[in-house]
Amino acid sequence: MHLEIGEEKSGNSGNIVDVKILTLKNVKKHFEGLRAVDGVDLTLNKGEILGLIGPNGAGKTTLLNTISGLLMPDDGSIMFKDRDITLLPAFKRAKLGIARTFQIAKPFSLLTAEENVLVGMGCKLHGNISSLFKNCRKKEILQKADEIINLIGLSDSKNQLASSLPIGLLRKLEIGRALATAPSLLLLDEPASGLNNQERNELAELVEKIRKLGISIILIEHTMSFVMNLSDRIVVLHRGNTIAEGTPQEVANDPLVIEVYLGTKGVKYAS
Amino acid sequence: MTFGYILSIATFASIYAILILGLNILTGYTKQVSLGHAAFFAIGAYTQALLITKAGLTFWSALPLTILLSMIIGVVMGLPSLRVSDDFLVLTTIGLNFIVMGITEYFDFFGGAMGIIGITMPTIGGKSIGTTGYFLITLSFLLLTICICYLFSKTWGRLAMEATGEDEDAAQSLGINTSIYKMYAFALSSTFTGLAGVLWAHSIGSVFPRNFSFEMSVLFLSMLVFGGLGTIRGAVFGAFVLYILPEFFRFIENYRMLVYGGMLAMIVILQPNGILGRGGLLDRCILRLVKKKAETQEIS
Repeated sequence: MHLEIGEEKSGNSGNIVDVKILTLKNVKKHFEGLRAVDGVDLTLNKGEILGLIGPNGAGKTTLLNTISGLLMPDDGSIMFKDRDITLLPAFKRAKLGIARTFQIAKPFSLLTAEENVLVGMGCKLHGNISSLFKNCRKKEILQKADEIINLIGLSDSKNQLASSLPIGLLRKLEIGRALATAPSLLLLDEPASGLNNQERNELAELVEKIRKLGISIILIEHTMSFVMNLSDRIVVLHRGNTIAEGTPQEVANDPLVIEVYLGTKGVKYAS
Repeated sequence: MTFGYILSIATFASIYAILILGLNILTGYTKQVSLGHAAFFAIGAYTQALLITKAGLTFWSALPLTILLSMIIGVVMGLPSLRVSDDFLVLTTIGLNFIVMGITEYFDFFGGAMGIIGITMPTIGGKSIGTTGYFLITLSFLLLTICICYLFSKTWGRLAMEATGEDEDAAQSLGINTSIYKMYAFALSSTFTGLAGVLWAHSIGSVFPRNFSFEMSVLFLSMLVFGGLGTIRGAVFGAFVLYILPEFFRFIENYRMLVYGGMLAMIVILQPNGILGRGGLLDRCILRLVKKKAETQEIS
């Protein structure tokens, strides 16, 4: 089986290509009586940054979890690069090129920053009995890890245990670890939460850099200026349903969105 | 203190160090807390004992068979553990410990409560090797185990196991099939623990069910937690210190479990990564010393 994963970089980098990389059809996820995600349709083009916003409990993270495979949808289908991945477990989706970060950072705290990135780099190798005993600290592998560590700006603390890193660096480390899997789709779950303004700006720059690598991004975020500036398109979720979709401008002026989420003050922030 | 006494202590400490290095792969790397590792220890010791006394094999011919069987049984015993985690896993491993003890005690094939006696010392070229020779064999196996564990610590396998142990969701999102890695950890861990069982059976010359009680499992976990989870130095250090110290404090023999239990609680609260583990008390002291030395060398 031949898989093209992450390697393909779009010719005119940064531009959105009209190729569907991800298609969700009528995805549902219910927790007993709670309809966390209730029939969401969603498409993502190659190289696009899609902002996913909505009030707390709207089902954003649940939707992300069904895309990354942490949760299996109760109904509907998920296509990734023309392949039906609805029933694939999370680790197989990661191997196909779906990477993610977590709302509450989940670093491997007893590993160094470098080792955290290495875990991601081994994505395609993990599970093979032959790679179980293969050295992961060869020169060329470490060099490649260094490139990623430089990209996320962690070169100074690469030998520190992740448990000793501050939250700003942890957020970047999580992104670096996800990037190391050579993904074509990156799911960011509130990457800017807990960050100060400067850290947030650095993060925005990093996201721009990642887009230039030709990686499509779905971004969940509550910081309106952050998500509105970065996103090409915004989808608004409310009670498990899509209530609005469009450019950041369109969404910010949508009366329903203003009513359920942004409020009149929020519009000012958004624009 | 006679030379023979010191030699015997060193031999047993080395055997326990091998076992703790095995436990470290399971509990240190994949964080699957085992309070039943005496079961894996028993499997190694009993298999070797049976192969020697009933099948008439020698130490060297029985060794590879025992190790292979330890690994296979380790995987089989690991299977039910895949379904459970945390506290339930601990209970499952305790259960395994009692099952193995029960089987060895109630089936005549395993010698019952009378155990199996007459496990002879290995010979080299037809000659008996004596206690010194046996110590050297044990020490060589310990060094070999340390080498293998050191090499393993540089592999994708160890990274994936540590990732599995720290956060399964995050590990899965990076392409790691966590169930498979838990099985790998059980296989590797029981292999080294089986080896320790073999060496132990020969040095004592007999095996009894009570040698592999739940208390032993508590001791093993204490050794690892004391030294430092997830590190080779911590595993070896913990095994040596906790085996040798009680020899000097024989007068508190009756309170051993109390002391171990209290110490385990203190370590978990004050030094959760162990004395010599990553970021542990001794670890930081040594790092500071090394740094100072490097600085003074730079100046001079």
